[in-house]
Amino acid sequence: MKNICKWIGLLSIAVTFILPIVFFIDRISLDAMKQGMLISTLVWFGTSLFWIGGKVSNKPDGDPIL
Amino acid sequence: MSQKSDTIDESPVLEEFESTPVPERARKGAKAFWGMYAGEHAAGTEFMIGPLFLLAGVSLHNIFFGLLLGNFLAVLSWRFICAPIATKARLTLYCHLEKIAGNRLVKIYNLANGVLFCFLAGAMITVSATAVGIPFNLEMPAFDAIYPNSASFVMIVLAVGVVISAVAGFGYNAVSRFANIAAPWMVLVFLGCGIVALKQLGVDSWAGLEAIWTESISFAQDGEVKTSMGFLDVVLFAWFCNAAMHVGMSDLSVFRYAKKASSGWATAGGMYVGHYMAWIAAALMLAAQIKLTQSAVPVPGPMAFNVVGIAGIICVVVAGWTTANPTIYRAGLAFQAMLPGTSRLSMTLLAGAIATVAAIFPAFAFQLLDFVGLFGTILAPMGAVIFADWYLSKRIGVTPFHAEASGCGVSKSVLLAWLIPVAVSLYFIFAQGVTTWYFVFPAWFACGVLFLVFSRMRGAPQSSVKKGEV
Repeated sequence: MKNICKWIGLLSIAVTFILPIVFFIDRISLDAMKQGMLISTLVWFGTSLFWIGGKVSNKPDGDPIL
Repeated sequence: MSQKSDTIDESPVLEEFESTPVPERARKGAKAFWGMYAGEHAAGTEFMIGPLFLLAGVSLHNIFFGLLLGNFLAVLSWRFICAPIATKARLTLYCHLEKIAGNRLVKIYNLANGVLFCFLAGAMITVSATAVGIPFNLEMPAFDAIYPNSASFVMIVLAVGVVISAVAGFGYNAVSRFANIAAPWMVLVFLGCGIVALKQLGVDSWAGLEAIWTESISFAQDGEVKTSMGFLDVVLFAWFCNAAMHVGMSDLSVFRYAKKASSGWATAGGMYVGHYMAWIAAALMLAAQIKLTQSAVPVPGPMAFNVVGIAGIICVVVAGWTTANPTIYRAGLAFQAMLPGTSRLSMTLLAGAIATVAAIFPAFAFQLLDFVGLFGTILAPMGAVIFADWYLSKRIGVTPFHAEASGCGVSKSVLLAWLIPVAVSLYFIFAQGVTTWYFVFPAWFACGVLFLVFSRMRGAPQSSVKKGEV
């Protein structure tokens, strides 16, 4: 399940990257691009929850105040 | 989002090694820092800063090359000023400064941090509110507006501010995790916004882009094309907009986890993704908006909606939310340090309330360039104290970590060295109207020199406290 979500998520993020380029080269309309961006966004957030950051890691990005 | 307040205390980030050097087992390779910086600097404020360059009449050449150079200087500052000390001392800025300046002075500095963080978070709340307001056909405030333009704007800002503040208070960890998930997606949406805006501008050459850029400036400035930011201004702004983090040493707290000082190069990920690509993309979005809708109001929500639709609205909300969250949380911790006995939750909510009130006034978001310069001018000079104490104090016969050695709560040498250049800078900024980012480096340099002079005048004997043995 986790692997499937990971691959679907990576595919959606790739689509997020590709759609504006496809629009740039006149292969799709602005509306289609916007719809595609929304769908890929929803898929990304829907699937990444299952495989990114299962627990709060000890990463060095949140020192309190200073 | 309904976690108890003690969830905050469970975060290992907040609990580990706050007052001790980071041990070897907890150290990270450079890879961890590349991703972190790239994600952290693709924030809600980037949506504001890029368009403000256009409105300031900055030429396209100066944007592309000025940002290239300024961001490189910022990366060098992280790599050669902040990271080397961080990877030797391995302390937070708070701990390091406390040993030099004394615990009470650090609290005062911390409070200044907290107040400025509140206003920064306020700008992020305003940015998010502009996106939330789109479905409600919210009329956006004008660029020169100081006060809110309608009751509905105030209501939406209040609603967004309350939600962000509550989440910062109760669900810090959840939002931290959400920010990790959103970061790669946000970077790509920023890039997509730029590509689509470029297409909407209908240009196929650099000359064409320059022409339409100049037209956009002319439209925004009612027929004139005058600039208030030249090449040097752009370089200095890009270099010092995060001055508090690099020359100001705030990121000692980050790089104390790095195995090597060379991890400082990872900040290039943040600078060239967030402060180069994202700023330019956001600036192009405003140019496209001017062309398509004849509106030069740099409101992020509608700009992003014009280019990538609802995904753009989500991006603006998420970018503002995920960056306002830790900012409010950190401001709350600063207030808590000043008021012993208060809870983290109540102080986080207080910070959120201040940020929300600030967000009601759009001037904080629209004057973000000046505010960011002011932020660096006030906070960054303390980094010079750390730099001078670490590298130069012994050479001139001054006790390193003097406050720790003497047990004083307020080091007058540090206090005066900080206040004098900051006060002079603030006089020129507010009384003479000089641009804020001109003062960051002079104030930093003067603070370091004054600290050494005052420390030498104090004439304390050499202490047995040695650098690195902390």
